[in-house]
Amino acid sequence: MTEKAKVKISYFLGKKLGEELEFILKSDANVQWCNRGDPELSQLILVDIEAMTTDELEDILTKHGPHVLLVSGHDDEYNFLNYISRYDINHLIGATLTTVENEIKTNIDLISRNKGCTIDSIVNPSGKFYKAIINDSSKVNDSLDELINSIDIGSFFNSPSEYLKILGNELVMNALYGAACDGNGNPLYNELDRKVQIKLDRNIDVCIGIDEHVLALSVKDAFGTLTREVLTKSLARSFREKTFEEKPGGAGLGFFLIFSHANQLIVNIDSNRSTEVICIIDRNKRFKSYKKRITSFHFFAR
Amino acid sequence: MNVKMTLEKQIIDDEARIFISGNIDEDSDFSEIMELGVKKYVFDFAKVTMLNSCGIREWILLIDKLGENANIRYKNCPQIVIEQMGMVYGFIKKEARIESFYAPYFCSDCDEEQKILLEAKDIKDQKAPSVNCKKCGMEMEFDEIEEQYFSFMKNMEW
Repeated sequence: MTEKAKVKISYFLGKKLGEELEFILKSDANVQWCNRGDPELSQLILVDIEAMTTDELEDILTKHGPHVLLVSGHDDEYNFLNYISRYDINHLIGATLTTVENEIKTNIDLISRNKGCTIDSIVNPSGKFYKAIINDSSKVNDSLDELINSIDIGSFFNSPSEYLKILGNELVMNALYGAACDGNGNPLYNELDRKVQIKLDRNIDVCIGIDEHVLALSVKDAFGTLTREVLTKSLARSFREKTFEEKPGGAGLGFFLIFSHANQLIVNIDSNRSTEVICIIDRNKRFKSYKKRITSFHFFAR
Repeated sequence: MNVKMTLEKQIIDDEARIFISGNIDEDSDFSEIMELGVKKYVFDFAKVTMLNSCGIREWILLIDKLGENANIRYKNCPQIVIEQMGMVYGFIKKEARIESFYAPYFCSDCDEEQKILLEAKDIKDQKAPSVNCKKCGMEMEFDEIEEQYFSFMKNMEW
């Protein structure tokens, strides 16, 4: 029987810890801590930006970006413009102390097992799941309202439904108008005026999962045409310009609103089959805790 | 139920008071506002239920069409709208002001959040005013990040 891999970290987020933090993995991942090890031999490199010099960070992100889990305490705009859009990294974890350890564990496990991240990986099986199917743009808001009004949110800050509603609206509209392609891979409705109603022959699956830790919203299309480049270009433009984009189709602000209102944005692409985007809101009674949370970004592609 | 946007207008002299209800989105049509031809517009957002990305675009285009010198006032803005006004440029032009808006406060004694209607004139140096709980009378804590939430104030000339 193979011994389970362990990552021992004697300091974290720039602070020396009294006891070693030990991440016990469910699988046999070979995880390197920052630049202490041989990156060529490591399956994953867990990088705390506060534990490295700027040059060391630049070097490791440039050479080994796709294998890095970057933990950053910077704000969303800084993280996006300086790390996610600049380097080929797929995982940035917001250094929020109450959630970071669990998020690192979950993602090391998912990456090392080469599994994408689905809503079932996030929400405990004992949690509650609420589902809807949408394929008609004229029914987006009715379907989302019905779904959101049916859920039992429990102890939370006062208005998570308002955020779920905007997240759901943007994700489903993106999936309806942005994902559909013809047989040659050309977008069908991406440049169509969003006032024009459409009905797809494939369904958009919407699922809300709730457990004692999170509220998760998943929107999954059956096309799998979103790419990291399209996503990051759209977000980088929005963060830089902070206004709508003058182009046919959507306003170019959807992912910006999604990233800004979610605590974690997880994108799971099975190329030409499906794209699942999951937004996570941590369970918080205090609205300020929700807003203080640095947004994490996780991108999984097969 | 999906709530399509509706507009209710009151014209008094050269001022239009416009009460907006429902979702501001890709289907929102503001052409009747353009036809009013007044100098001052007071938009009441109290019954706005959602403002999505296409709605933001439609709104900013409306504000652009009303012109740089249009006297624009926003009243009763919901919390999520204030957040989006702080995130995206174009809501507040030279002669525009947000007069009143909702903000979250938390009462530790009641373990409860309350949405409180604040007047922009009461915000000094981006600090939230003191508010007491409606139930127990104890002082509540402002439950947002002040610098972020009041960032729209920087774009307003007083």
